[in-house]
Amino acid sequence: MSEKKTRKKEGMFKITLRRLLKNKLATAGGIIFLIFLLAAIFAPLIAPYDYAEQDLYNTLAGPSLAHLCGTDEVGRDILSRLIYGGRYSIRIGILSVVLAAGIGVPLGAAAGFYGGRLDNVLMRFMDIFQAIPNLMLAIALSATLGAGVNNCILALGITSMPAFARMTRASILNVRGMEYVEAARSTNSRDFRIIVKHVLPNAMAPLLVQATMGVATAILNAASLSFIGLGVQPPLPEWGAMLSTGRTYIRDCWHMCVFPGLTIFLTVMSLNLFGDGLRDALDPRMKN
Amino acid sequence: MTPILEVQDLKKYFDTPRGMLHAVDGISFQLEEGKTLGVVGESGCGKSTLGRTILHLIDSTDGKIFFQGKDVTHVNAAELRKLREDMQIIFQDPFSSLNPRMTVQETIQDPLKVAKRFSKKEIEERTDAMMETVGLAERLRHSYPHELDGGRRQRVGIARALALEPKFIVCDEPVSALDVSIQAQILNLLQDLQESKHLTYMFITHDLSVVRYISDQICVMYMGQMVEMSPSKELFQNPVHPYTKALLSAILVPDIHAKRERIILKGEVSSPVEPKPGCRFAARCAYACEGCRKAQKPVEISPGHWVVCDVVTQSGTKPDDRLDHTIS
Amino acid sequence: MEKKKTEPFLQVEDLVVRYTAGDEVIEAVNGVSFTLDRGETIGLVGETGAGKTTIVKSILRILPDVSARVESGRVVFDGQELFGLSEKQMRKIRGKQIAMIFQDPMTALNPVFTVGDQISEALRLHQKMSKKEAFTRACEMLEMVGIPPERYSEYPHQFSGGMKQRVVIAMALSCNPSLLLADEPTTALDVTIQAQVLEMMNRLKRELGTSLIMITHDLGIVAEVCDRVAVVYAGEIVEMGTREHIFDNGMHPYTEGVFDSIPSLTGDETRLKPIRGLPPNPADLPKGCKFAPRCPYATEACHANRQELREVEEGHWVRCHRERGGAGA
Repeated sequence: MSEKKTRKKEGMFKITLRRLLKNKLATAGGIIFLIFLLAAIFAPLIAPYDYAEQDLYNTLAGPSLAHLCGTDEVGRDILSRLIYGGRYSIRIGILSVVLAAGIGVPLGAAAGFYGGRLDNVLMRFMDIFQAIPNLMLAIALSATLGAGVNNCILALGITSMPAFARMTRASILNVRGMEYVEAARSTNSRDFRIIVKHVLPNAMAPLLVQATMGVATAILNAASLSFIGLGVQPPLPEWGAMLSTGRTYIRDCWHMCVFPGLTIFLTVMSLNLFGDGLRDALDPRMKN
Repeated sequence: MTPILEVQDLKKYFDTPRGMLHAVDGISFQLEEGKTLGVVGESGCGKSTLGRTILHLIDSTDGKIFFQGKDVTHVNAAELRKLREDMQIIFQDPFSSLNPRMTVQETIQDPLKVAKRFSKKEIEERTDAMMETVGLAERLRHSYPHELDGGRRQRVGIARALALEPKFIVCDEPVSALDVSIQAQILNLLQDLQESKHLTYMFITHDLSVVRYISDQICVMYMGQMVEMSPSKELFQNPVHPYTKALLSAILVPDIHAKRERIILKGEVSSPVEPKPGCRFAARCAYACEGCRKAQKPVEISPGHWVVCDVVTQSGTKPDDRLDHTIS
Repeated sequence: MEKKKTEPFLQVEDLVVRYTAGDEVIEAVNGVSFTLDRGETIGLVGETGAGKTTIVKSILRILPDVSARVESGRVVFDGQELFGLSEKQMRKIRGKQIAMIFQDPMTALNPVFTVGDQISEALRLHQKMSKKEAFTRACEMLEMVGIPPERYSEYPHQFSGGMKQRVVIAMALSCNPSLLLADEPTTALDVTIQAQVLEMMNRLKRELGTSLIMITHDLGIVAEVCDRVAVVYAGEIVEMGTREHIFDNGMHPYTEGVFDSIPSLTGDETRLKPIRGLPPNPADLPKGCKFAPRCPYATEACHANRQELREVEEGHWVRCHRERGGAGA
């Protein structure tokens, strides 16, 4: 009996992993993101220079063997700044989505599952939120809370929360009417168990995609906040901020824009590919 | 013998934008232990709502429900939990009634885990027993619903309903989605289970040949109301209500020599939103007259055979004569 | 008139259709042949997944291109070889000479157009009618299927299920097709409505002289509307004959089993006799007779050898070597 159990538990995880590995694009996405993540974590070990180290005799230099991605306007090594920058950009991206989903999903779930007045109140509240342009709200929040990485996460998390709530609600409305939900109720399951075991797992697919896209959006929005001085504070490197600085020099120094841009692009794309693959792999209807 | 389930004047109204929808409107019956009540009617007649109201999956608007002699119309949370263990439901659609992300084993064990009074070992033993009872092979234990065919899925649904050893089961069109050869397998299974576990069924269906076969007693519903209730055989030999007659005559029999007079009804069922008093079938009934505009009374024309139609019950003549008379 | 004697109105010959799903090959239709005369109705009876729908979809050439392939076979309709036609020529036949009715009327109607417009649209497209002519004809069609023409400008959601199916039938019949393919047209309807719709179809068939292929799993419907019956199992016709052959003298063990599985309305049986086991996996069909694993009379020969259709009496074909009442050859 116990043997059967272990076989099964392992099986579930293994099946998902096997399906994910079979999907070449998703695997590639996962690997690229993992590399970026590890690079950010081990930045002090990998980065050839310190992120704040200035070389004023060698500003705005193009890529060379000494500086693989060139240097910026005060002579800092762009590659090192990108590697360190992952620490902030990826953190902002992921944590703000975790925050947004952490608040949005339960609210949306409650609204969708219970319906009625609760639904009405919650969704009108979300309407108000969404009526204000995302970036404006984020700016307002950051301005009130003050600059800094954590406040930036908070501001971005709160602004993208309504999207999660809405999507969860829509997705749950679909699943709520299924007979297995009624069956669960008829066998005495409490609402919490019904939502967590029967409703959410079957409503998850669009949320996963939303989450990966959310990380991308958050990284880009963080850049905007940095640009007006509300996000990550200099000299801390942040991809978005680097990109916007580079914009000033785009005519003469292409490398200042291209490398941060490429990094953001790769991160976002790897996450999207991985999210898509994960959604498919988690679908029990898929063939092995 | 006291009935295991008694329903008195049960009503369930839904508030819709167009007014009150009288989905179930004054249904009463008694059901003895170990017997099967068949509930037949066309889609939208309220038969599924009736089943779900009895199970407390939806709240009743009015009326009373007695289970094992106890009034269970209004119960608190603890009583409801106990009640639900005794009353279960088997669904029609074997596709939407199983959680696509749960294996056969997880689905069957779910009610046992929720009940929180079984040890791990007991849960395993019961799962094994349930799977054997409903005829699911051990190798299917870790299969997902999409890997099973309709018949097997329905067996999983039955096993889940039986897991807590209920006494009363509402079968909501359990074989309608299945092919005939599989349908017969499931019907036989339900019969075997009834015998071995002494179960009481309320069998909701639109398929009249199935209901005749499985039921002891049949209740015919039309737009939320009962129009006729009778022991199973009697209803098929001697249908009295004009609607029952039309319904029975509309059955297509797989027999090319059966010469049967078919009554083709005009019009279609509408939904009972803010219905006027009086017979709801009158609009489609060939025998409708002035008297049908007022509320009709159920009359017991022979032991256990109730008819709700003043036209056929109020005259002293035999129903058939009376009907013929009305036509001419 | 003479031509019909020699050449049937519709002839399907040795049709083989395969689906590919991933690395699996699903043998959906395995050598189906039948003919249909003008004004005649044939019923294709069988369980879910037996290949009935695939058969009629390949006649109309509307199988999904990506996954389905007609491996072999030919369909001759009114002297034309359908598989040899270009897609453009085929489009002229679809809807005009051959029309199809699907099971679910809700999906066959466009919710944003009125039902009348949907019928006249088809007329203007295929019959090149003017707006006015099409309107008049659409009203006639509605009346013919028992819907008051005043409801011309109502939308599908304002109709009940049975009414919607009537609209779908009116649409299918509007261009006066000579062959109608009906895929379980009454399965989604209630019994009393089903009776209405079948009654109407029978009447229209008589009046218009349309040939009909009726797909169904319900032998009651077959008894009601079909002249001839083909029983389909695992992509093969296992028995074919007139209504009388099948209902009075059904010989294939599967036909027998299906009749035995249905609870009777008059008998006193207390127990049904289901066919044991399950239909075979179409991606992994048995080598010999496809019904052998479930057949109570199966012999070793049945498991090993493919059975051919043989004519047991004129026009009555059975894919089984067993003689009536015998225990196998």
